[in-house]
Amino acid sequence: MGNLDSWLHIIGLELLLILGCVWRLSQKASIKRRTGQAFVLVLGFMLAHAVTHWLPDAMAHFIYSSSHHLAPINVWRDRS
Amino acid sequence: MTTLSYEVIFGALAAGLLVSLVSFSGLFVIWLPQQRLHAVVPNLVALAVGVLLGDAFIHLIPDAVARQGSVSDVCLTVLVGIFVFFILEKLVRWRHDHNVDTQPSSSEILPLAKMNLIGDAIHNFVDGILIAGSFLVDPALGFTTTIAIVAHEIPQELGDVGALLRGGFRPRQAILFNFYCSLTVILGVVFTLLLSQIAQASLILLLPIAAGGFIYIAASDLIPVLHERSSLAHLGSQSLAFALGVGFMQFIVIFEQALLAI
Repeated sequence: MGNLDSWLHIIGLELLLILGCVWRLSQKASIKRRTGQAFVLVLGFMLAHAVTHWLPDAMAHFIYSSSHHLAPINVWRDRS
Repeated sequence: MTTLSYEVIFGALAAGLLVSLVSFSGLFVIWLPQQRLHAVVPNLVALAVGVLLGDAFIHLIPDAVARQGSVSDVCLTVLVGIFVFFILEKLVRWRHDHNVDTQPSSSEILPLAKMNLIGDAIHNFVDGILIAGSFLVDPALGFTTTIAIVAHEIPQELGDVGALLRGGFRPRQAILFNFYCSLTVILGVVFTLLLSQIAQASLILLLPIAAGGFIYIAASDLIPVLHERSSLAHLGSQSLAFALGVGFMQFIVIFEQALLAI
């Protein structure tokens, strides 16, 4: 099955859906505020993960895909 | 049993969250107009009766017998479950309102809704144990178990929302409280991951007690509600919803067997 990142993405998406539903359904201001904060926190983690892991990897693969001789060996090893 | 790898831990947690997410499947009731909602709720209650009884007699009791080995012990534990839920309902009625009516007045929440929440919470806890237990055996088995549990949760959650609406909850409240109860899945998952041996052993008791609770709620709280309206149209629609609930649970057994055969 997938790696640790995939599992964290799935759990993050599920949490976002749950928090979104609770935020939408709740009519208490305090619960709305807390679920809203939790939603932003989870979204922040996911975006931070995307920026620090996924985005650089994707950019490196995009750049080196046309210039194989410039690519560090581990880029292709990691990909496979 | 496999070792406690990140795949087992995160897989079981993701599966638990997915089952919790399914509790929002009754969300459509929020957008139903009041008049339409009044017409739909008795059918959802009838669906709940079929699903609860189907779950108890088609899933939980046979599963408990397979684990326990003794039919008479399982039947005795089911009776203990019915007795425990009877005591619980007595306490709920005594503590809150001393009211035995089945009609909700103003903002009052009827015992049937509270009992339904308690039964659902226990059932979801058991589901959490089953999910994490199967992930501990093999992650692939964990996925098939999760799919089977999600499939039987959808009609069950629809029925639960109907029972909560009938018990006096407003639509938004019904969905939210149903979701809060579904979080016991995560408790069941964490409990099993931490104490897998105890959790697996506790299923011998928890499965028939949950079955007893379902039989009690369906027979004593929900079926009397169905008898409030006795026209031919209600007989037809409620019987259909009841049969649909039972039929769906039987279909899930076939579906589970097909999944396990893959």
